[in-house]
Amino acid sequence: MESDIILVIVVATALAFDFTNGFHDTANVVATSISTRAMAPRVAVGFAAILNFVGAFISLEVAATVASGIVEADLVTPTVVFGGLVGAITWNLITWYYGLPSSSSHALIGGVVGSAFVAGGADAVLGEGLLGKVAVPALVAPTLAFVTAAIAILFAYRIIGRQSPGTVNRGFRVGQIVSGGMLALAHGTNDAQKTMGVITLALIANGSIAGGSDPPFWVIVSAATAIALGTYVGGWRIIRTMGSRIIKMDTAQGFSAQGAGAAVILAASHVGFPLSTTHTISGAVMGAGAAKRVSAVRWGVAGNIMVAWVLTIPAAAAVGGGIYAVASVFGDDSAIGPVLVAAIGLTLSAWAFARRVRRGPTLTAAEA
Amino acid sequence: MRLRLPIAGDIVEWDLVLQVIWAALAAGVAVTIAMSFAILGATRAADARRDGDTLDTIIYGALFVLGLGACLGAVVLGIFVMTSKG
Repeated sequence: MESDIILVIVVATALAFDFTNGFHDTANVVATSISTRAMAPRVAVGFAAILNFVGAFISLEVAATVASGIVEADLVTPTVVFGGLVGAITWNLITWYYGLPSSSSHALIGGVVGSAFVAGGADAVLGEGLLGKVAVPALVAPTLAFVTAAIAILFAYRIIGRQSPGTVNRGFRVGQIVSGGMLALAHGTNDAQKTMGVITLALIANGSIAGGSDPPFWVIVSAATAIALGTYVGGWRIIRTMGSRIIKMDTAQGFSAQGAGAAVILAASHVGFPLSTTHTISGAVMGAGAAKRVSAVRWGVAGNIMVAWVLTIPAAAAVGGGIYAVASVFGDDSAIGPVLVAAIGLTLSAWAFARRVRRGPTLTAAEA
Repeated sequence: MRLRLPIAGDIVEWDLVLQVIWAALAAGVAVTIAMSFAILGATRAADARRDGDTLDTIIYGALFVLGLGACLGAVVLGIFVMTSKG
């Protein structure tokens, strides 16, 4: 009975994380298209939401373990996963509040690392895995996207330099709709599966399905729906940062950033190298701006984003570890701790929502 | 944490990193070049048709078709990569 309650809480929290993942990462897909007016804001997020939903069904090669190779698999209990998920959700909300694009995958990894650390001590965390699967990709993704977008935009300016701006803008805007669509599909394919993996793992741990099973259909549909809904709601603060606060971009820059970002993500996906969509697109946007003029990039904003990237794992780990410590106070198998934490989380969410409704929206789609 | 001072070469799969670097650079730059040529072809072909220059219309029209075809090929390849990942 208690394990069923924990399972329900873990599933609900995983879907909440999936929602914040879509909400937080909408900017990766739509910010450049909105900024260059390739699409109207609401149309762009609707388009991205549909393609994220479809993307979740494209490939069902689920990453069956959370933070695989980064924490000791034997120590990953539903309560550890719960702590990790709450750590990731918290960091996603904090970075959204400050309009900073940061990696939801790294937030989840950080949360689970912190939670596993508190559960099993220092030996629970595999330093080699953190270096090879998190630190190196975190350096490679933005750097590679930066260089690719920079080279691409220089070629683009060279080729279309003397053509009429009207035709060029129309052409690149059409291209951006397609490249943005590819990014949304790739995002749905990669990120919805993290949630499917978390829920499937919890179901296996609870004995609800056999080990090695594929995710049940309801898991696939609910994960796809949660990420699509999150995408549709749209993290407008981050969209504004990504679309207009790093650089003021033209249509050629928007296309080359999206094209470079999609190329890096798909190349990495093809060989099974884990990269963050957020790091990739942010690097591509900076590269497309810097190649035109180094001073075109607002390096202060870019610096804040990079600080958020560095802080993601330790901050999510601190929250994840703290949540695990509270949730497991009555024992790792007890449902009382997770129920208490979930109740407090829901109360805080309801309070924040009510406060927001009383004050009215602070940022509209048009402002974004 | 198992901090036994691991050597990065043992942990990081550098062959994968290199594959990602060259594939992403080639594809990312190529798709922008292809799109730029498609736009250039469309613009120049329209100008040439307006001027009654048949040869230029055909040449730039072909450039537009080739550029667009390369972009569509990249989209198909991308969808193939997504569906076959694992």
